[in-house]
Amino acid sequence: MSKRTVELHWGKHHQNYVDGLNKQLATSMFYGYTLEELIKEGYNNGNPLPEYNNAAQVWNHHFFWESMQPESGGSPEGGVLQQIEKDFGSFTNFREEFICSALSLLGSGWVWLVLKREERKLSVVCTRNAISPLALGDIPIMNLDLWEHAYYLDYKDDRRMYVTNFIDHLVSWHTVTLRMMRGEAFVNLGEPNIPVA
Amino acid sequence: MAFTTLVVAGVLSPRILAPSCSLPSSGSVFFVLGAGGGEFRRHGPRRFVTPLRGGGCKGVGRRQNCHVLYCANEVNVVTEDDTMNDVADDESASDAETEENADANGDTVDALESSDPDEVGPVTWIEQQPLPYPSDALEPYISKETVEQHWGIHQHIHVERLNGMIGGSEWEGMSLGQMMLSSFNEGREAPHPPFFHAAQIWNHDFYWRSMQPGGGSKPSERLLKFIKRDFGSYDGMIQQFMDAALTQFGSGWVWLSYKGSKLPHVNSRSPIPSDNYGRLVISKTPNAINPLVWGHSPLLAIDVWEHAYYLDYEDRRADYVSTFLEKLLSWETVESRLKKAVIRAIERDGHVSRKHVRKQLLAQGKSRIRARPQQANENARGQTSSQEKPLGV
Repeated sequence: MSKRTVELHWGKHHQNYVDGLNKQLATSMFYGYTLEELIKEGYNNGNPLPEYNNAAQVWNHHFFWESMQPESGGSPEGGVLQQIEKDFGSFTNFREEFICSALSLLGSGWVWLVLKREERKLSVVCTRNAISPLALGDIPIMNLDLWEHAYYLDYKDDRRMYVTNFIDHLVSWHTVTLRMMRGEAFVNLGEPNIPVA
Repeated sequence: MAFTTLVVAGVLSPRILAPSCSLPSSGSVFFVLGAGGGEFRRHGPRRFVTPLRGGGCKGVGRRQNCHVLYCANEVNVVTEDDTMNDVADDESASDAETEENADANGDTVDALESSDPDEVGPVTWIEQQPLPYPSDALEPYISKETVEQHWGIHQHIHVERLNGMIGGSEWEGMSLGQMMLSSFNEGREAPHPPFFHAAQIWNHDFYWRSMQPGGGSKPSERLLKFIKRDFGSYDGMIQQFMDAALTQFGSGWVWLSYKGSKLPHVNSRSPIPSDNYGRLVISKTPNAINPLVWGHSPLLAIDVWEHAYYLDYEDRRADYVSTFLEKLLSWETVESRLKKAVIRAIERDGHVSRKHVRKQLLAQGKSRIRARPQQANENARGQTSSQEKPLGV
């Protein structure tokens, strides 16, 4: 991911979302809400309010920057790898599914690795425009920006190369591990520990 | 058959000869083999004659369904009419071009998921139209690199994917416009898979032809009159364009279209208030939707997907749109499309609207001495010619 892309993406796009949101909040009833509350309330069960887009994009981009790390990628270790293997069969399967999902998205959006609350497993979802799994009730673990502004300068139309490079070289498994650990506090991934009387 | 007599009873315009539509209660539209319509020649196996349900459709329902056919025809007119010669002459040329592109971009094409590797020597049912100007003709506003990437690679991907998708399906053999409308699935549910690609190809063709090197400047007097009437002023229109373009969140298009009539010719509605029939409207659409599916007649398209401007303007969408409007837009094309759109709308409605009649009368009255009261005539004319009056004119 080139320097120019990061400068533009973070400095202009992300900044614009922040500024836009601040302007909106000045006169809206959501003044004083935290970002996550804004997303959950603003989503309004599928009929997003005006503040939603800006808030979600700010959150999504922040999540995105943190999901990456220079010269990282490869495959995860330990607990995360175990969980991925349990839920996807193997790391290669997960990687393939992630890439396929990303390529099947039409238009602008995001592709996520989420921890689903109900099903208590990891899964890959893609969302359009600014929809966030937070609004849908799941716990996001990692995401990738598939809006064209994220990759057009570097890869032009070659989305596959962009996603492959992300998975192979940029995704930060340390952050993923941290987020999984936090997620486990909300979702019981193992068998319930029933005490024997 | 009672069905036919109901139809022939004069509710519909004489263009439909042997319709057999059904209400789209199942969410899909069944197309009809018109006996006289040459445009139907290439329909795939998607023809159904379904039995009437519950005592038959009301006249209104029937009209709604059958007019989708008109839209499909019109789409052919819109895409192929002004480039009819081009398409006919350049078919071999564009074939060669698409082949060339495929070869030249060997790496990128292979790197992407190519549609069907088994089909060597791909059958191209749909091709994109060639650019009406050389790829560096839009410099310095849109760079040669962008044009080549946008037209050559990006649009080409859609063509490839579409061709790979429709082989052997019900859409095989349809023209692009018909495919687009029939796969839209009336907007109530998700569109069928070919819609995205078909619509994007159509939209992009439309977009390239909305521009010309050395375009921009002001529209002609006649067009300006329309603009002033519908938007207040030329600047008002530009303002609305900018608003629509900047508020289109995500990927999409901004359109100037002619909203023909109040009658529901298609089942999907546009989100703009519907009392501005017979007017120019500016609309923004997400992803690949275009106003044809709402029954409007598009006059110009601006691609505000980020790929259209990112290489030249990076994130400055406002600059891109204002440059487009001031320096690239081809008002002549818009005007010719508007003329066709008005004619089409009149034909489609099957009757002459009161406004048009009034205009005719005024024009006649100008050349004669106005002895008789205009009012009485106009009302009388309006009554007799608009058979569909009860349907909400």
